[in-house]
Amino acid sequence: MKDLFFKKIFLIIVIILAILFSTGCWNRRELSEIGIIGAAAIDAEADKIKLTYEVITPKRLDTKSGDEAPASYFQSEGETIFEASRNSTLKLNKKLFWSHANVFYFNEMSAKDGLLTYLDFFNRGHESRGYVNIAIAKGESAYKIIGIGGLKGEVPSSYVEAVFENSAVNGKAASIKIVDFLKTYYEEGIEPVVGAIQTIKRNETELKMPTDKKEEYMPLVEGLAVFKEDILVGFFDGIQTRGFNFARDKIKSGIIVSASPDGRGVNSIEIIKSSGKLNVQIKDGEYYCTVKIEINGMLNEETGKEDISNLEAITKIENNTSENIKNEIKSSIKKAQEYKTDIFGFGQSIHKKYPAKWKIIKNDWNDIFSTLEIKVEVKTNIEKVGVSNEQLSAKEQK
Amino acid sequence: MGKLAYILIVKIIIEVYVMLKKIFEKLIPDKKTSTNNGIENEIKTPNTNGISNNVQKNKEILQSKFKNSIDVIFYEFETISGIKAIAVYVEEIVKKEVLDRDVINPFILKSNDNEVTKSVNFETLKKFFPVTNLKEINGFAEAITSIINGDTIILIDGLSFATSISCRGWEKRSIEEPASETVIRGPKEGFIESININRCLIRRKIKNENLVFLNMVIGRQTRTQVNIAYIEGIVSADVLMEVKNRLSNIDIDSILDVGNLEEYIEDSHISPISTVGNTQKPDIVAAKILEGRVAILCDGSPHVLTVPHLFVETIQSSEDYYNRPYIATGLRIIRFVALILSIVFPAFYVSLESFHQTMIPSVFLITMAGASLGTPFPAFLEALLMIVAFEFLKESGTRMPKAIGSAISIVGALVLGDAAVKAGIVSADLIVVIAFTAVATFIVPALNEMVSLYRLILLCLSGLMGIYGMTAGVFVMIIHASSLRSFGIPYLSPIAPVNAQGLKDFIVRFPLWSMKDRPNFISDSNRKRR
Amino acid sequence: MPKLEKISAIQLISMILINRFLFGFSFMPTVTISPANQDAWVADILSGVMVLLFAIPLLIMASKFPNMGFNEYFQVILGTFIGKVVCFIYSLYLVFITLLTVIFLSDFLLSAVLPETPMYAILLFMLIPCMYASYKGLECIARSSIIISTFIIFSIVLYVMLNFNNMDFEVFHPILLDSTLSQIAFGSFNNAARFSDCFLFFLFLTHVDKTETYTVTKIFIILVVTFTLMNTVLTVATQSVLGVGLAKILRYPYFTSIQQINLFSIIQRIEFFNVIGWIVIFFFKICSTILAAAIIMAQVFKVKSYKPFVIPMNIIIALSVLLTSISHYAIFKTIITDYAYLVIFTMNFIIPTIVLAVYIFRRKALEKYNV
Repeated sequence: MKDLFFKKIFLIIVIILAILFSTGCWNRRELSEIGIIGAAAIDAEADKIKLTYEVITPKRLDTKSGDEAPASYFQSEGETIFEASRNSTLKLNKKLFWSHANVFYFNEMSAKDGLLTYLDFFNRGHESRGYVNIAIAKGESAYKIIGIGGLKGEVPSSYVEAVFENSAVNGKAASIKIVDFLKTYYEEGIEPVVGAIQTIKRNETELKMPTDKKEEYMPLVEGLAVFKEDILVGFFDGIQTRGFNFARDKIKSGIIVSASPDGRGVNSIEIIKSSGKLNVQIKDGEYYCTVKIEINGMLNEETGKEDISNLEAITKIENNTSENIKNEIKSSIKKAQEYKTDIFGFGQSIHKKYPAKWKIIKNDWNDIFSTLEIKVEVKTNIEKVGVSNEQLSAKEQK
Repeated sequence: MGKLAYILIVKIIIEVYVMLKKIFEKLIPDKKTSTNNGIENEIKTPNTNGISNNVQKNKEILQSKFKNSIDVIFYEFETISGIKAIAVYVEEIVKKEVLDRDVINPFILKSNDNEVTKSVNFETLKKFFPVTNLKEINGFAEAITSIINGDTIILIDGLSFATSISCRGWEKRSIEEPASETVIRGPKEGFIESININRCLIRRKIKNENLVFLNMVIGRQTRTQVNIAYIEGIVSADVLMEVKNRLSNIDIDSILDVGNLEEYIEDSHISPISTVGNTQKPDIVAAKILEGRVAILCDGSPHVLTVPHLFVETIQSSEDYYNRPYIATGLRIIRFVALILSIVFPAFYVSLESFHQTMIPSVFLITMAGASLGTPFPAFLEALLMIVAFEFLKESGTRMPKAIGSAISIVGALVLGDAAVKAGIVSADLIVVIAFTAVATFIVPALNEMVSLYRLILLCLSGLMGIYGMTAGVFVMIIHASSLRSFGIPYLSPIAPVNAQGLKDFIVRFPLWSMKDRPNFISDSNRKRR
Repeated sequence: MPKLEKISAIQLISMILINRFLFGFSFMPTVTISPANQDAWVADILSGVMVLLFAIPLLIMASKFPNMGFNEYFQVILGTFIGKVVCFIYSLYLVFITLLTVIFLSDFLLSAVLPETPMYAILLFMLIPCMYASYKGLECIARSSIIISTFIIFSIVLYVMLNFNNMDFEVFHPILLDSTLSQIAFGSFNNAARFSDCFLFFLFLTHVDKTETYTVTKIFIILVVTFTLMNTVLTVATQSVLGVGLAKILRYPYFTSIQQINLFSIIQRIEFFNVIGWIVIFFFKICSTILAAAIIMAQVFKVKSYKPFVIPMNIIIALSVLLTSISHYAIFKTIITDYAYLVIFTMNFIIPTIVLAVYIFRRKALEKYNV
């Protein structure tokens, strides 16, 4: 019995090997055949999509390849994103590999058409990942933004991705990934946002300096693109974005500039910790919405002349800071109300607290939101002032 | 493909099967069908008609039996009273000084009267030989066995029996640390080729009257002595009976090393996993016997088999028990992870690089793509080449004379690797992977055979189908390992079936004071250790 | 069978546990079908209770006939001929379940991992290890199940821990206020009705080592509690990472949520544990279900060993996948979402209830088989 089984196993192995080796391996791609995409720019034009992508050249081990450009750029067109990507094989010797992309740029027209039609490929394809940053190119075509930035030998898309990650320290930009966008889109009572990117011209001094790359333009990651459902309605600038981030509790660090206690200088407060909460109450059919922010800060720079080492002065600084933050948030809320989209999530809070009522007002919530009066309360605690007791400019007094 | 193609395939399969069946029946003979061949070569059992009175006749018979081989010495001497005697012994197996001084000399001096011929039984003859271990020999077969085993036979004219005296003293290796099982902490004795000394080494570890050694002679031509060692009262009776059965069923010409025995008593002949353990150190054998296992010693071999052998023992080392639990546990974890890595790593790397580039972190992918830029082979072939090259290096390293050995291997490996990368034949990443695998292979030397074979199979499977092929191979390996039994005990105890006591010694070695019971999956008798 | 193979209670539990992970790893009925909102975890917990309820007839009968597998006491209760017919139908039903599992795995592989491989290659690599495992028998499968289940639980814990950053538990508010009771009830019914491995449990119960102290109910409750807990953890983890709406439209929500792990930009894309675990779970389910089907078939036809039935069943499955269009996406999806759970529910609950009723009716005549 044992021998018979042994023979059967041998037979089966022979058959397997015969079949499999005679037909070859499907699905095997060597690393030299795939073109790794670092970033892609999707420009939706009137009847077709123009796709510009950056193919990363692999890093050689021997050092004499330091002069090679780290990435090369190609463009192709098609009716859908996947068709455009396959049409690229008419020009490129590799097949595109979408899995390791760092950032996707969309132009305004594609966002106004409805961003979801372009994101379906990335959701459905088995190669794409959800944690890729997306950005809307403000004011120009997306292909102008791709490929600028970065030091010599550095791939521009990883440079831009790192700049996006920097938004955590200044608060004036937002790094939104595909999965975040889809998550907020499907959530009831909140509208999605996407980070905005634009190009900025280097000024003369910068161009004259000896740098590695003498490009005329640099990427500027600042601001937010505001959506209603999945259609672009407008942009926020840097300060309004920070207000939005305060309200959504996304601030990790940042610098607030406020007036000194004696009014003759300014000081900068570094945000150590910030927490933001939205609160909605419905009483007698009236909506009472509040945004409560609490901040722990550290005084980092002070140019006024008055002595700041007493409680009164610190309290004044705190109040000034709170006032500035309040104005930022108010301006961002006002802009959102202008655009008639609730990106802060007040609808979400209503849905959580008063689900029965939410079912009724669900469809008109954006319009209701634009008429509401929203209170903002900010509390700042400045606990530390750095390692110096007096500011340097205080010596003038004495 | 149409339905017709399927019918064709089925027909082809049936024809191929019939053809292969015929080939098989010729190629693989049944192992146990060759019992008849042994009988023709058997040495004709000598006339057991006993030893005759005439010493010359005895001498002629013995000489013809030994075919006049020059190392069997027939020394004729006379006692003072003129009685002829012959001492028969094999040169260099016998200690000459002991023979001369303590046996022949006193016999010649003491037997100065005719009492020698008058003493017709062995008991009275004994007083002429002032040595211990005298034995009475009554037939030629016994005499021949005795001479071959190293005793000296004294034939005395007029007596129809012979006396055998054991004064063995052949050259043997001194007891030293075995080269393949070195430890930092713990006893460093190792077995040598003489079975008596090996028995003595074990006996000195377990000073217990319940330690039993049973003797067997196996091998028609070599007639090797094989001993079974166990502790009565702790050993499992089923295992012992099974061992005795299997050993007595062996019918073979020669047993030169305990490895030959292993092939006959193991449970599964076609499995690459060995279910019989071996070791060269007495303290390991003693520890295993104390847990209820049976040890098998073989004359002429410095290795000792222990049965049953489970998967857990391959990642254990004797040092684990002589060190404290923390470092023992740390080393066990390293060994376990190294074992898994050495089987799976090349296959895993090849499948990721060729099929699933989405599963590699972006940072690695760009350097990997750069490293494999100029190389002509696909990743699977490269890995196969490197593994074969590694096996070449390993084999030539064992065969090289020690003087050239280290220089060539270091220079060869370094230069070979470096030059191959620069020439663009292989990619640097792959060399790192294979070198890491090679280093990990030697951490668990007991499973070398299984690891090499499985590694190759998994590599081929993953070259065909990526991670799917590799997983199918791993699944088959797990099922195969869990189907093995070593002398009746499942190979993967204590993991599967789960055994709480046994798990205390698996990856985490619990402190000795907490392992109060013997592992009950081996032997159910006498469970308490204290 | 000539020799009764012995497995222990833990092995039985881990065998069925692995089979049950299938739904948590692949499409999750409560997340994608109903209630498909933030109350999916409530439906999951409720489905555990429902599984216990639906298994009551079988549990009662198992305690009355402690030495027989369910196929044997079906024949005793219903009479030999009808009993054999019913058992034959059960065997075919188990083959059908295996067919669905095979298509499911090939679906996953062709969509997410290896898109261009032809079907026969996938089937070859799938059916040959499973045939080998079924040949080796129950003991072997039970022993390897412990290793496999440890690996899978370890991988789930690892992924949940690594994914913790991305989790946002606010999506679960408002609890229970958005869905109607009928939605939740239907969702948990859908989930509970898919417990097709119920019969493997009751078939292999006779092999459990009787020297340990156990009761059938205790083992079953431990099993149900464990897998309900793990499935709830999977649901919660998936929905908190992906958000409720996105998880609803995906085909493999847990897999996609694993793909979002991105820590320190180096611990990313580590879903190979999940892929390996997935493939091994499916293999395991295929081989254990075929083993059960072969054992029942051998007992129906009074053949001594179940081994001759394994290869023909596998060939039938392979041919039906290759030659018919059952693996077509639309057909398969309709079968899985609309019809499969009804079939399984019938076999799981309705037929045993009928048998229980017959047993109560014929209790006097069957006294001699009781304890």
